[in-house]
Amino acid sequence: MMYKRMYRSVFLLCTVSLAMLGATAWASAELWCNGQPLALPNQNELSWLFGQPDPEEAIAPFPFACLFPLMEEIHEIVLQLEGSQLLLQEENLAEKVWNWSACLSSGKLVVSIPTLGENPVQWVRLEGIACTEKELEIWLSREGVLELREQLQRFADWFGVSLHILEIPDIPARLQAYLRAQEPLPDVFHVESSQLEELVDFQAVQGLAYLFSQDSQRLQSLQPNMRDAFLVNGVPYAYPFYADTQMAFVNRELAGRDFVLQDETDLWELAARLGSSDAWACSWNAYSLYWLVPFLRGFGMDPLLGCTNTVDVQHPAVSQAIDFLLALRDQGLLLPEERDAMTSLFCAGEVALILSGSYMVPQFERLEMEVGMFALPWNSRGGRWFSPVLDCKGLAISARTKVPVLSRRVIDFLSCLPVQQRFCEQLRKIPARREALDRMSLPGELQQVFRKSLRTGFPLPTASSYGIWKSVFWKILRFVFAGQMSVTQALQSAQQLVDANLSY
Amino acid sequence: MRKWLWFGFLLLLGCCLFGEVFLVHGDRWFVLEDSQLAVLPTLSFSVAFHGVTNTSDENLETENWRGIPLSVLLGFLGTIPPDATITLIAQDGFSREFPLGVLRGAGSFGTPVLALEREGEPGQWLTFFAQDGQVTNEDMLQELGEAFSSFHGGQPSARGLLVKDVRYLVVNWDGDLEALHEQSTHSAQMIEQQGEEKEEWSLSLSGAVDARIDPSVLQEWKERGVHLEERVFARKSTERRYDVLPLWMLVAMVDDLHDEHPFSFAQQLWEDGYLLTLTAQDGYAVSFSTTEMSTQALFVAFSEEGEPTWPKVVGEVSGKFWVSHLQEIDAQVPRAQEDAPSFTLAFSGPSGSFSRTLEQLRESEFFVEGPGSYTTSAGTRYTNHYAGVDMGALLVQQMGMTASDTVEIIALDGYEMSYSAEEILDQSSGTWILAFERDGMPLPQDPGPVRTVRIGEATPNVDGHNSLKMVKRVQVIPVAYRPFQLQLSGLMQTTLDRDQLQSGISCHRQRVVYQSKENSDTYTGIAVWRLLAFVDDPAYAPHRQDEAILSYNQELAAKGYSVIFHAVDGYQITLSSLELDRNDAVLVANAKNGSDLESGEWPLVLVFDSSAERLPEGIKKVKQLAHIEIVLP
Repeated sequence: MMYKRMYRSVFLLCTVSLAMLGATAWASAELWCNGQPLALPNQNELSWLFGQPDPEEAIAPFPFACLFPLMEEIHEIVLQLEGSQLLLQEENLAEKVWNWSACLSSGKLVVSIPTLGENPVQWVRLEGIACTEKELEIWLSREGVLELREQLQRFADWFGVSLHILEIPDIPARLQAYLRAQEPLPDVFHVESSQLEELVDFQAVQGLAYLFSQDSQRLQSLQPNMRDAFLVNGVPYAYPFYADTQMAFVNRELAGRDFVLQDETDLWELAARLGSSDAWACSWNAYSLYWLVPFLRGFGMDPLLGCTNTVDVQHPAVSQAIDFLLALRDQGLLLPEERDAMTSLFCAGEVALILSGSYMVPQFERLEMEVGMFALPWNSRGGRWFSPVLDCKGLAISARTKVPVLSRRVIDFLSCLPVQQRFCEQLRKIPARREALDRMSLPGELQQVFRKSLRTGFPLPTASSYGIWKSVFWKILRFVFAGQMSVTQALQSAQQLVDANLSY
Repeated sequence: MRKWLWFGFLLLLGCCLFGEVFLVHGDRWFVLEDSQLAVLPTLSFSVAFHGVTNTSDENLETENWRGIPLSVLLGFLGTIPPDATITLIAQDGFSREFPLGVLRGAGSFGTPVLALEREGEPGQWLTFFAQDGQVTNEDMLQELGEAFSSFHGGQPSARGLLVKDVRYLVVNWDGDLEALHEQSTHSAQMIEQQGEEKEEWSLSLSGAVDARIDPSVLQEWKERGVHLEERVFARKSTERRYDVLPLWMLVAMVDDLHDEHPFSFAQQLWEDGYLLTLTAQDGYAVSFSTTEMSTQALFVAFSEEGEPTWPKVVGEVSGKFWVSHLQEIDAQVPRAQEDAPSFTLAFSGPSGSFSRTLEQLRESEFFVEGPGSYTTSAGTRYTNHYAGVDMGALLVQQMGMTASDTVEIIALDGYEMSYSAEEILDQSSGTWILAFERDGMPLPQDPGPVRTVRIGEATPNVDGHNSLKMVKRVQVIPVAYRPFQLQLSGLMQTTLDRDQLQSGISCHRQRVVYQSKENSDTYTGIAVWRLLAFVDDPAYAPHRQDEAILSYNQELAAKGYSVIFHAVDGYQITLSSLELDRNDAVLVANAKNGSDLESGEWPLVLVFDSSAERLPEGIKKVKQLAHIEIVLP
C-alpha cells in the first residue's frame, strides 16, 4: 500500500513535470523515433510534400506517419498530451498510423486518432523497426500520370527511397506477358476494377484483406461503392484510388442556360428547344454495352449479373432499354456515334447533349466551352435512376513483390487526404477517400454530379462474364441499330453466344 | 428469491466466462473472448476522477489504466440509431446507462474505455480517458446532464461512473437480465462448439511440380520418422516456442522433378537463385530471391507453445517474412510442363467418343501444317500458314469413318456444319485439317482456338461458311452425306447448296411446332423472308455488301408480290409477300424433331407454326421443296 502511494506520487510528479516541460516546448512538439530526435516539419515543407502550390494555404490534415521515417513495424507510440500521457500498443500500428491524421495549428501539432479524437501533443515517442526496403517499381496508366509521377517523386525524396515509375498503357496485358515469361513484376500498379478478376486468375495480384481486417477505420474512410468495386469473391484485391463517372454534358449555347436534365422527358424538351436547327438533341455510343448499362439499371436490371456471374440477356429490362434507345433514335433525338465522333460533333455545336465520362471535364474546361454538367437523369418510365457506371481505378500490390511494406506505404501515401484531394481536384476525379471529396474545390454543378453519381452509380462487375457480354453486344447492338436484327432475335442470339462462351 | 438465484448463477457464470464481453444490439450478438480482446487496439493512460468530496484538484487520486476504446467495440454492432442508449451491465447485475454520443467519445469530457488493466491488475472496467487527465464532476454534469450523471448521497460523483467487471454492452436494453443471460449461455456454448470444429489447414506447394500437405500428411511424416524440431524465436521482444520444419525441406518437394526422392533438395538451384513466394490465407504475399536468403533462415512452424497451429513462417528475419496462416509456397523454378489452360476437342461417332487436348493433338501422328485460305461471303480472302491435325486420317483411324459417312462439326456457339466424309478424304484439292495454329502461333482462345480449313501446296481456298471456327465437337454419323440444292429466282437467280443452307440455318435458326392431324412436330430451319432477300432486288444479296445495307427489300415486300414454292414432284403453292414479310412463323426447314428430315420430306420442307397468329392465306406444307420463285405483279 505504501509502495502504491509512493508510486502514485512519483507518477503525479512526473506527469506535472512533464506537463511543465511540455508547456515550454509547446510551440514545436518534439518527435522521437527509436530514441533519436526528429525535426517537426514546417508548413512550407509539408506544402512541398503534398504539391500544394501556395505554401501559405492551410494544408489538409496529413498522415501522422509522414512525421516519421517509413516503419516496417511500430511496437509502441507514446503521446504526451496536456495533462496525460497516451501509450498505444497494438497490432498493425505501422499500418494504422497512416490513417491517423496530423495537422499543424498555429505551430502546434494536433494528432487525430480514430476513436480518440483530436489530441494536441507536446511530444511523441515512437518505437519500432524502420523499413529497410528502399526500391520499388510502380506502373501507372490513364490520366494523371504526370501528376502522380511528381507526387511519387516527392514521396521518394521525403522518405529517402527510390521509385521506378513507368507509364504502361495496357497493364493487364503486360502483366500477363511478364508472368508467362517469369519476368519480375512491378511491385505496385494501377488496376481498373473491371480487369481485376482476370488478374486474380493469373495470380498477378495479392489479396489485401489483411489491410482491412484489423483496421475498420480504413474501410470507413472509403466510399462504399468504390471499396466494393475491388472485391473478387468477397476479397479486396486492390486499394481504391479514384473513380470516373458517366455523366451528361450539355452545350449551353444550343440548349439554353436554363436547361436542366432531371428526367428522360427533358430529352424531348431539349429536342423542342433545338426547333428547326440541324443539330441533334443527343449522342452517345449506343453500340456499346458500357453505355447501355445505365439504361438497363434504369429499367430495373439490378444486379447486372446473376449470383454465379451468369448473364441474363433476355431480362425484360434489356429489351426495354434497347427499345427506349431505338425510340429516341427513330424520333430523331439520338445519334448513335462512337466516342471521338460524338465529342467532335458536340464541340462543333452539332449535338446538344452527350453522355460521356467525367474524364472529359478537364478537356472541356481547357476548351473553355460553356458546358452544363448533369448526373444521369431519373427514368420516370422505369421508376428508377439511370445509374451511371463508376469506373473505379485502384492500386494493387503484385503477388510476387519483394517489398510488401514499401508497397503498402506507397499506396497509403497516395490514398492520404492531401494527395487524394489535390490529385482529384486537378484531374476532376471522384476520390476514394470520403473526406477528400468534402474538401475538394470543384465547380458547384460538378460537385453535385459527383455526389449524385456516388448515390446512384455503381462499379462495373469484376467478373469476366461482363467482358464476354460486352464483346458479344458490341456486334449485336450494331445489328439492332442497323435494323438487321429485331431486338428479340438479337437477344436470343446474344444469349446463345454469351452462354457458349461462358460454358467454354 | 428468483432474482437472488439468478444473481448466484451469474456469479458462477462470471467465474466460468471471465474475460468475455457480450455485445448486444437487438438480435445481433457478439461475444469477444479474451484472445479477441487482446488483439483490439488498446491505449494506456492516467486519469483522476472527482468523487463526492472533491471540489478541487488537491485530493485527486490518479490511476493508470490500459484498455480498449468503447467506440471500437460499438463498431461490431453496425449502425446504431443516434438517439439510442447503451447500457453497460456488470457481472453482478449492476448497470449504468449512457447516451450513444457519450460512449462514442463525441463529448468533450473524455473517451470511454473498457479497461483491461487498472494499476496493472487484470479485470474489465468502464473508465474514461481525458486529455487533461481529469474527469471532474463539473465535466460530468455538463456532458451527461443530471439524468445520466452519477450521484452519491445526493452529491455528484464522477468516480461513480466507473463500472467494475463489465460483462454486457447492450443497445437500448429492456432491463430483462434473465433473457440476456439465457442468450449469453447459448452463445458461450456455440463458441465452445466452434472451438472444437476448427478449420483444418492445407498448404499447397508449387514449383516444377505441385504438392499439398495437410495435418494427415504431417502425421504420416512423423510416423515415418520426420521429426519436427523445437525452436525458440523472438518477435516484438516476446519469445515463443515452435515445432518447425526448415522451409527448404518443403521447397524440396517441388523444386525439381524427382519421383523417387521427393525430399531431395536442389541446393544448387537455390544458390543459383529463383523467386520464392509465400502467401497467407488472407492474401498477404511476400517474395524473395533465394540468393538473398540463407537456407537456414526460414522455418515453417506447425505448433506454437505446444499447441497445433496453422503453418506459419518463423525465423530470425524481418517481420514481413513471418507469414501466418501460410497457404501457399511457390517456387519459380522451370516447370515440368507449361500449365496453360488446355482446350479440349471432343470426338464422337458410332464407335464411341473421346476428347483430346490441343497438346495431345499436336503430339499425335496426325499433326500436319501448310498454307490454306478461305474467302468470306463478302469476298475477303484470308491466307495463312495453318497447323493442326489431318481430319480425314484421324477420323478414319480413330473413329472408323468411311467415305459414305457424314461428318458433323459443331462450334462453341452452336453453329453446325456437315461435310461429306468423301470430301474430307479427298486429297486432290488439299487436306482438310482441324487447325489450332496460324502462322506459328496458337489460334486465339477467344472466340475459340480451332477452325476447319484446307491446306496444301497450292494454297487451297474454301468458302468462309465451310471454314468453321470455334470448333468444339466433331461427330461421325454413319449416314451418307447427300448434297442438295435450293433454287431461288426473282430479280436475281441463285442456287444455295446444302452447306450454304446449313450455314444460314445455323446463323438464323428458328423453330416452329407444326400440328398435323396425327402429330405435333418441331421443325428447325430458316424463315422464308430471309431467303427472299437473295432474290428480291437486283443488287443486294445477304453478306455481299457492307453490313449497313440491308439485303432484304422490305419496301418491295410491303408493296406485295407472289412467292411460289415448288416441290420436286411439281406440287406448288403461292403465298403473298405481304404475309411472309418478316414472318418468323414460316420456315424452310431441314430438321424435324432434332433429326434429319424423313425421306418423304427430305431435303427441305416449307413448314409453319400452326398456332401462329399471322399465317399466310392458303399456306400448306410443301415437302421436298426445290425452288422458291418471286413473281412481281
